[in-house]
Amino acid sequence: MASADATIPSTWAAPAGWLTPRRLFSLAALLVLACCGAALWLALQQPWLGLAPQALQPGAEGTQALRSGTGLLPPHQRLLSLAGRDGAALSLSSDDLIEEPDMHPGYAEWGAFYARQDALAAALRSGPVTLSFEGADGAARQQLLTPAPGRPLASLPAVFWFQLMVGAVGALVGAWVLGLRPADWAARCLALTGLGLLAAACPAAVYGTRELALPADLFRLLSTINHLGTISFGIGLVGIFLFHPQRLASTRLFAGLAAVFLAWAVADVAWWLPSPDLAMRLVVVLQMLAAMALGAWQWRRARGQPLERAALRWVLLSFLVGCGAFVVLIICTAMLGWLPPLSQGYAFGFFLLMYLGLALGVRRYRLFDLDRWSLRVLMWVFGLTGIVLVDALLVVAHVNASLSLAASILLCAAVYFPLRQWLWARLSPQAEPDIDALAGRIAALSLAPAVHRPGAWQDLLGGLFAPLRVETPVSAPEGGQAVLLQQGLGLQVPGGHGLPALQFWQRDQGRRLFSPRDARLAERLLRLAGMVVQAREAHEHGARQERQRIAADLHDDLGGKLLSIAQAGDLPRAAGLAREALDDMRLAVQGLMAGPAAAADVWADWRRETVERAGLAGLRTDWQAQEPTPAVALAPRLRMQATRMLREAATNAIRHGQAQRLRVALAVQDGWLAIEVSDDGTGLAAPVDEAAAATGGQGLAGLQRRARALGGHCEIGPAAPRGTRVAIRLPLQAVADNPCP
Amino acid sequence: MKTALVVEDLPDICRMLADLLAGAFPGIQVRTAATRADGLAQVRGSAWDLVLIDLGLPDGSGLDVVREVHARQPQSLPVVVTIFDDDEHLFPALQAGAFGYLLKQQPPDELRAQMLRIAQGEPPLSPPVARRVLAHFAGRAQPQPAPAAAAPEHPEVRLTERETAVLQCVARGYTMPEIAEQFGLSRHTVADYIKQVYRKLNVSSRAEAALEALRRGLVQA
Repeated sequence: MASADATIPSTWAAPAGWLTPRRLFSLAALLVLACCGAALWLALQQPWLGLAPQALQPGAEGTQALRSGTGLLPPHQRLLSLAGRDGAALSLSSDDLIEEPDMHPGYAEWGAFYARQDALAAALRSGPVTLSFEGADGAARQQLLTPAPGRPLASLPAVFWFQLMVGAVGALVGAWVLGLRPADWAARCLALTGLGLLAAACPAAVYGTRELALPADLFRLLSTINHLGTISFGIGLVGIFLFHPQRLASTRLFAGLAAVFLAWAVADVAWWLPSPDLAMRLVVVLQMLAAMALGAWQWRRARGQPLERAALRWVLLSFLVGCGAFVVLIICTAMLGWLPPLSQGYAFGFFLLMYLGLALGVRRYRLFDLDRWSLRVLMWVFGLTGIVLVDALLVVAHVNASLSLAASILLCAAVYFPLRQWLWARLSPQAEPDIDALAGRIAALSLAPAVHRPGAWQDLLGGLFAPLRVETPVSAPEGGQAVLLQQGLGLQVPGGHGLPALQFWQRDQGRRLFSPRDARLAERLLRLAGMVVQAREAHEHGARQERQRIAADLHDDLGGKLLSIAQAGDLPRAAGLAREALDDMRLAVQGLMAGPAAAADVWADWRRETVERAGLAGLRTDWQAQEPTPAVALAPRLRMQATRMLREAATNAIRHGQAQRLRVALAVQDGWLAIEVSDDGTGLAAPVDEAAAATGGQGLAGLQRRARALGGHCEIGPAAPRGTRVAIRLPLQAVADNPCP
Repeated sequence: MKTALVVEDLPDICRMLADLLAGAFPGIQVRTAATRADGLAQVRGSAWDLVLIDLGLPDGSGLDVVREVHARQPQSLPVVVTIFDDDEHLFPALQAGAFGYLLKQQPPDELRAQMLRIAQGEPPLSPPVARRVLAHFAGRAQPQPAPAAAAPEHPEVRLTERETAVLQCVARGYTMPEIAEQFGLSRHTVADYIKQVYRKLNVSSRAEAALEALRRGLVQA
């Protein structure tokens, strides 16, 4: 499968000035390096105890508490407080390890958190600290620890690197797509989204993986950057759906929208709003809803435009999957409790997933493949969502958690899988073609006369793809590959084996794009047709050569000798027989060389010969040939035998009947060829049968034998009012391989 | 008819044809050739009024002799002698310039009558050959993809309506007298139409061969 233009963006434009795609990408790489480097530097700058504390799960021991992880203390000790050089003990709780500070319900709690963080950070910076913890016997113990001035690189957890990776990939992919489509507003919005991802992820990596505390100023700065990044991501997302695949509004409106969101973001980071819920969380929810609504609008507008729909499908799909998976897992962790709590850092992975999908969509990459992939992903998401929703319902209904999960899986399996099958059969754009029927049609096509093949080929592919338009390309490629045109709007099937190259446009009456599978299927069918045609032609060629050889032998050996006898002149009877033998031989050779002949042509040849011969003998011929339909054809053997029989019957009338008139009637009816030859001569005394092999009847008895051998019959009797009548009926289709008499 | 050449490899038949010629055209000088090479040499050597040519010669096709006669001696009549009168065998010979054909196995008096008719300008035309000729000219009527400059559309290579009508009657099995009666023409006029068809077939076939050669030359260049 080759794609003619899959890798060339449809609205590619050279970027203005010095900002080439390469420079843009290098710039983004520099930015990524700076951000990641800054994050790493900040993380490593913090004092380090080596405690690796873990938050206890709420409710496990009644209160929120910290435990020691692996480190200087025995593991799983409950941490109570930490005292700096000045001696004031700061009590510790799991809130101190909270990954994301904006999860606090109000600004008061958030402020208190910052204050405690600041105090803890100051204590850690001041020098050795005294850590109180609960020993195994329940008694409080104390230990003096000296924090290292900086954190070792190896102590950074995987989630730190993961978030840097997400941010880096986001910024780089955004720059790449923007470089390819600099004039495309959707690409610009995508770049903004990538930048937002970088701005959100890098600070989160620093504060999310802190050992215990960060100075409040630093914490607040990082959180501010994170929020601005998150809201920028949302602005970009809304913009993508506003401009992709079709522009729904002016850039001015988008700028206004962005300004509103940015103002909101400023109010958010300045804590001017009543609560954190009304700040970033509401913005994010609004942005998601706006993106969804715009997506639905785009979907409606793209009706009947398969290319636009495919471009949108990618974007919508990744949006739904990314958001859906994020929401589902948040619900799972927070509500159901059967999954381990998911670090916010890893949740960035879903946004990366979404982001990559968006990038592919805006980049318009392999849109023609989407039909197939998107359906699979959607099915998968629906299945997972169904299980989660049913499980949530059952948990809300106070069913035991593990029981409810099992029940929901069972329930979903019972309902979902049949539904999935049904949906798949209905929606699958790649409904499996019926290979048996196709193979049969290919064989029929290849065995048809060459003139009928192009039409049959076009009918076959047309029935398969149901295109709106079929064209014959001007410069038709012979052989080679089937090629998708205009990102799957069209499919060009090469010609070959006597079949023309064809271009199909708008698959399924314009509802779908052509996919590489269609191209491969067309190639396979063409190969198949080619093989059958070749096999048939090879067979015919061999048979023809063999026939030509036999014909040449007959002509050279037998023909020459018969001719010599015919023209020797000393034995008139032998000469006559030799001439007849030569005529038979001509017929035999003709039968060998020729294919089926149109009945109308055979009628003409018979008429000419019969009328001429009768005319030379002084008989008038009354020729009554029913005009045969063009489709009626006589097989070579039938033609040859029928010619001999007609000749024999006519000869009989000319020689023996003393007739004045000869009447010949020809008809084709119900698959039978009827030949009737009558004269107004003296006639026969009695009907001829094989027993009556008298001198005059020899040829006529031969007629009956020949007719029977062909599966027909021959009646010989008196004509009314006088003369002889020979009525021959022969089946057009050979009944069996009877030997020729 | 003062001179005739018979190119035929079977000695009996060769002699028979020579005798027939002598009987049909009193005072005619008849020479014979048994091979293609000898036939070509004699055609190049002297002028002939009538040349009877067997197509299956031991050292090659009689078609070459037909072409040679047609090219060198336009006033001469090249006639094919054969035992096969189907279009597969005859059409190429007619394209090469043969003016009719004789069936070797015909009784001598029929052969002689046929020879006289050809000599008088009444070439035979069987229905299968007529159909081939019609198909040939019908195919030419369609637009040609070949370079226009190389194909001057000559009226010489198109059949007139009347010629086509006569040809169609032949193709449908009507005899020459029947056709003459049907069109209200003399036998002689019908024969003239057939002669024109023969001539145009040869001209158009040569034009086509030249075009084909040119096209191949262009493709190779």
